[in-house]
Amino acid sequence: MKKKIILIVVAIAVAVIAWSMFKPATEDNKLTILNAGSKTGSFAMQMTAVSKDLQEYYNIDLKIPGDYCTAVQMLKSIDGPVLMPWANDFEAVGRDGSGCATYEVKPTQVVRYDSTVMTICSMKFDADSLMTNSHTVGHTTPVKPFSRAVLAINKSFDANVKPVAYDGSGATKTGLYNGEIDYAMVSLKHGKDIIKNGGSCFYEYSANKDSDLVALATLDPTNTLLIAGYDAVWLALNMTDKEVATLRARIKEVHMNSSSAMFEYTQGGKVLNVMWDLTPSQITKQWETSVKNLQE
Amino acid sequence: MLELINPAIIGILLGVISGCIPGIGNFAALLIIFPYLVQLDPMQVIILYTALTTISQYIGSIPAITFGIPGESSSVPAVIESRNLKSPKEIYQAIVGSAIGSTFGGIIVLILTWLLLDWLLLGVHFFNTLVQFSLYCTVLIAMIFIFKENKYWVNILLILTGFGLGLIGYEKWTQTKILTFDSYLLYQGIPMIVVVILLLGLPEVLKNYSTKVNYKNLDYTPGKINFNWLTSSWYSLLGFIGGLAPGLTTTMSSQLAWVYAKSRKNTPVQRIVASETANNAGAFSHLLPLLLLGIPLAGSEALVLGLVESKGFRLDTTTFNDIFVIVSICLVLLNVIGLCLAWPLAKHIVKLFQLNIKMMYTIILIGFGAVILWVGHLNYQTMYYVLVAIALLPIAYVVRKLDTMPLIFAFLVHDRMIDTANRLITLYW
Repeated sequence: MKKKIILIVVAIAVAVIAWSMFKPATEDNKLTILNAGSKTGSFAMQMTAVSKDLQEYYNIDLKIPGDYCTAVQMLKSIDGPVLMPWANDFEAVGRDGSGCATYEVKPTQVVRYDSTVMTICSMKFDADSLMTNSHTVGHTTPVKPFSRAVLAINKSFDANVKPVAYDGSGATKTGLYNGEIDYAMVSLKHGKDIIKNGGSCFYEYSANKDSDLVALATLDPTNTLLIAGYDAVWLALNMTDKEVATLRARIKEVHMNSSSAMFEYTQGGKVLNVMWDLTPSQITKQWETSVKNLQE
Repeated sequence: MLELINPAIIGILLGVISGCIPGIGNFAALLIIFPYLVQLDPMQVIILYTALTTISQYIGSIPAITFGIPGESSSVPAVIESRNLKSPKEIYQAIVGSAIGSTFGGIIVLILTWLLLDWLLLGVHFFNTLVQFSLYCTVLIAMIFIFKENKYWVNILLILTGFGLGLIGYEKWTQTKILTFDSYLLYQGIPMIVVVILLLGLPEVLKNYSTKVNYKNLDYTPGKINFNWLTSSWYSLLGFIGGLAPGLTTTMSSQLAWVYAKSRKNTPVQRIVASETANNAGAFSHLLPLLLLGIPLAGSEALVLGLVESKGFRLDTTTFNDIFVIVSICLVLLNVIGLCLAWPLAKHIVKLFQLNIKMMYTIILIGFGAVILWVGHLNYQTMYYVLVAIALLPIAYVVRKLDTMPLIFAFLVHDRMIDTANRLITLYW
C-alpha cells in the first residue's frame, strides 16, 4: 500500500513538472513569428533576432519549419497574429510553376521592406579573371533564379563560369573559404564578411552607377538578369489595421535601438537597405519588378 | 550559464534511464522528451545531449556488470565479461574500476582535444563537399555491416526505405514534387518525429517489452582497486579514435579497448575497466564532428543537429570555440556526477530494477503517442501527424523485429546527401 501511495505521489509530481515544462504559451498578446526561409539562412537569423527584440511587447512563438513550403502550409492553420517574411526568389520560382507556393503580397500587410543586391566576391581571384578564365561561382537556393543570374555573365560577357548551388549563404561562404569554389554570389552583408576574412568583392547585380562595386547591368543594360537581389517583405497577417500599424512602429523602433539584436544584425542599417517610407504603390511596383527579374 | 542547469539535470536523468533500460538508447530517450527539447535554445539542447551521452555511459556499466543487461550497446563487452566475474569482490572492483576509468577517460580526451584544437580547426579547411559526401556514404555503408541483427540486404533495403520516405515532398534542388499527390500537406514531407517514433522508438520498445530482470541486491565487498593511469590513457586514446567511427561511435570505442585488453590476456575485471574507460572517451570524441562541422555520426546526433538548426543556429567552426568552452566546463562537472552515480550511488541505481519494467515500457509507449500529438499541435497540424502515424503503422509492423537505425539515419541525412551529391556533380562533371 505504501509503495502504491509513493508511486501515485511521484506520478502526480512528474505530471505537474511535465505540464509546467510543456505548457503552451498563453494566448494573450500572442504573436507567431513564422520563418519562411531555411533553418540557417538570413531569414532565420533575422527572425530569431526580432523575436528577442519583440519579446517585451508580445508573447512570441517563433516557428522555424525549415522551408517556405512548410511555412505556407502552417500559415493556413494559424488563426492568431502572424509575422512572416516572404522573399522575391520564393515568389519567382512559385510563379514559374516550379516552386511549392506563391503568396499574394498586399501592401497594407507589409511592415518592413528591404532590398539587398547580390555581389560577386572571391578570396584569391580578381575581377578580370572572372570574365576571362574558367571559374566556378557558388550561390544559394532557390537554384534556378540564381543559377540563371550566374549564367547571365557568360551570355553578356562571353565568360566561362559555372554555377554551383549551396544550401544557404553560410555554406556558400564556407565553400569559398575552403577553396572549393572560385567566386561566391552572396548578398552585400555576406560580401562584407568575406572582405573581413581577407577576400574582395568586385561586382554587384544592379544598374546602380554610383555603387562602389562595378554594377553588372551598367556593362550590359540589355540583360535584365544582371539585376538580381533579395527583396523581402515582412508580412503582418491576421491583424487589424491598427495592430499592423503598432507592429510596424515597434519593428522600426527595434531597428533603430542600438542595443537591439536587429540593430546588431543590420549593423545599424549599413548592410541591409530597409525602406520604411514606401507608399503602397511603390511597394507593389518594386516587389513586382524584383520578382520578374528573377523569373524565367 | 544558469539557464543550462535545467537541461543538464534533465540530461542526467535521461542518461540514467537510457543507461539502465534496454531498448531505451539515447535516441529513444530524446524522443520521450521531444516536446521539451523543441522549446530549448541550441546551447541548451547541446548541453542536454552531452549530459545524456556522458551519464548513460557511466550508468550503462552498472546493469551490465550486475545483471548482465546491456542498457547501452557499448556495454556489450561488460555484459560478456560479467559472466566471468567470480565473486562480489570482483563485481565491486569492476564497478568501481569502471567508474574511475570512465572519469579518467572523459577528462583525458578533453585535455587531448584542447591540445589539438588548432589542428582540428585547421583540418576543417579540407572538409569540402567531396569529403562530406564520402563521410555520409561511409556512415551508411558502415551501417550495412554494423547492424548484424539484420541481414546485409535487409540493411540495404532499410536504407533505401529511409531515403524513399525522406524524398516524399517538395525537393528543392530539382524543384520537383515527389509523391505529394497534389496534397499541399505532403509538400513539406513526412514529419521527422513521426517517422522516428513509429519506425525506431516503437520497434525498440516492443522488442524489449518481454525483458525479464531477476533483481538482486548489489553485494558490495570492497577490494583493492588497481588503477594504472598509463594503460588507462591508452584505452582512452583507443576510445577517442573509436568514438569517431561513423555509425558505431562508443560501441566501437568499447570494442576496440576490449579486444586489445583480451589480446593482453588481462583479467575479466581489467577487460571491463578497459572497455568502460574507452566508451566514455568515445562519448566525447563522437561529439566533435557534430560540434565542429555539423556532421552527425549517429542517429541521435542527426536528431540533435536538426533541432539545433531549427532554431536558426549553424554548427561550424565559427560557433565551435564558444560551444567547446561551455561543453568542456559541463563535461568536467558531468564526469564528477557520473563518478558519484556509478560508484557510491551504484547500490541505489540498481534498485531501479525493482520497478515493474513492463509498466515502464507501457508508459513510454503512451508517451510516444503523446509526443506525436503534442508536436503536431505545436505545428498546427495534429491531424496530419496522426494520419501520417497511421499510414506508417504497416511499415512499423513489418520492421518490428529489425534494428531500424539504418532506415532512420538515411531518412535524417537524405537531404544533406542530395545537397552534396548535386554539388559534386556540378563541381566534377
